[in-house]
Amino acid sequence: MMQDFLFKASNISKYYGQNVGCKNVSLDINSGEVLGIVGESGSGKSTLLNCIYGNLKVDEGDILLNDKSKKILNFTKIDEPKLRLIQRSDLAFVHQNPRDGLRMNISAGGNIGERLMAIGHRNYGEIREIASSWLEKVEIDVSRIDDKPSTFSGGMQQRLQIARNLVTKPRLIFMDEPTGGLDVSVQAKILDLLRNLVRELGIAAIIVTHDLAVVRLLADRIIVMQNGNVIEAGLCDQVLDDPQHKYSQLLVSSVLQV
Amino acid sequence: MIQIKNLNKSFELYNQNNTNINVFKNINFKVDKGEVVALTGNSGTGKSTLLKLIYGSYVISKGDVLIADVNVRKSSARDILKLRKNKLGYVSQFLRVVPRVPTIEVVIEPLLDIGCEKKIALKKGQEILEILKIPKNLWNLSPLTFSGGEQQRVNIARGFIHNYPYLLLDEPTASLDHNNKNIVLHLIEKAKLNGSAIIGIFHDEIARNKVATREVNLENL
Repeated sequence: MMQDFLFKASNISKYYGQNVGCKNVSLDINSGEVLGIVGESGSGKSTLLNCIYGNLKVDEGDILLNDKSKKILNFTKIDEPKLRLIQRSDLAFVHQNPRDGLRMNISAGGNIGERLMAIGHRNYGEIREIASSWLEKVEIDVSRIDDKPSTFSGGMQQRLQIARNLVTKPRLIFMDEPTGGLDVSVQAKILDLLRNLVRELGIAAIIVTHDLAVVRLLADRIIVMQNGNVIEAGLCDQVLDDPQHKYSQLLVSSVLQV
Repeated sequence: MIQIKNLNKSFELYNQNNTNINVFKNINFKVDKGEVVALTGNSGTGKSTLLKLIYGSYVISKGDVLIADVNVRKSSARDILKLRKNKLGYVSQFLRVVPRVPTIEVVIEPLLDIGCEKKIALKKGQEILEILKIPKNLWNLSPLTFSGGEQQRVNIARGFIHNYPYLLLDEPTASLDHNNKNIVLHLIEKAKLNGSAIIGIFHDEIARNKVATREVNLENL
């Protein structure tokens, strides 16, 4: 049973000189689960996400992934090339700013196709077909397949980034404010897409957001951060409906409608 | 069986002058298979709060809630989620769904969550929507654009599509007209005969008298 976890981070600490990025944070996630990380800006959410994805070096703690062959990998112990390989195959990272997650100088289709080629796809027609179907899924007009993302609106870029990250069907997706810059109807479409992927493919997701309405609809469990510390964690609706910590109460009560 | 043992609930509101609100103290009762227990008492006596404590949406201050062999207070978030998925249903007065998702998809979600095949789930979804008289031309639209009564029936469809052995109903007939109310009462009756243990809040006395096997008044406890 204990070996069933997909991903586990324990006692993660990260310091920026004297300042605390995040301190002594532990979390774990199984396949098919969505974990939300909430808190105001500066609370350490993004630092934590980047640490556990392996983008930032941690000062303390272990990050364990149960890989496809049921072998436990510790991100803090494996070498750089191995980590990059894992990040490309088992994991995905959706950035808050789509420009950080897209190649702006290649076409939309190329952005999606590149990920497929990285995992071994070679047939051009097939790649283009898969790319088209993903553009459709994220509601980008397929006729824009040969256009560069620099000609897209911010919302379209974000949807393209999500398509690029999901096309290889990673086992765990890290998302940093994924629906932040999107209008409400597109947000809804992406939320629905994510929920279906989670259920149908058993994908797991760790989502950093300050939007409590988004976590309520998506997350099974959430953790609340303040000043780099986890101050409350648990069942999503329990933390949102009956927060126990002073700061969580403030966070929830500051929202107009959740 | 659902067992409520010495249950206490208070809210500590840190940002509102550290107000402590005691909702209730020492609630004790049991609900057996095939029983519908109606919670009664004036507004503010904690009827909805009690349902949320049982469902795990609120934190238990003291005491225990036992559902079959699960102690809600001692269970991890994952265990509660598993309990909800398989055994414990909850129909609230409010519909909370991802915008733009079609009604039929909203309704069959509990079945997909337990691994039911989509084709079978869709068939069951159509059946329950027909029973609840939701017009067929609305099935592929998001329920968020529906009237209050229709939204409530979509919620009920979600709650009754799976035969939950334990069901919590918060005003399931509140905004329904006479005919629709009877349809819902019939669904509750059927679940009761099927052996579900049900706890509900029914402000409507006629509805309550029709389905409840027993009342628990939160003011007299």
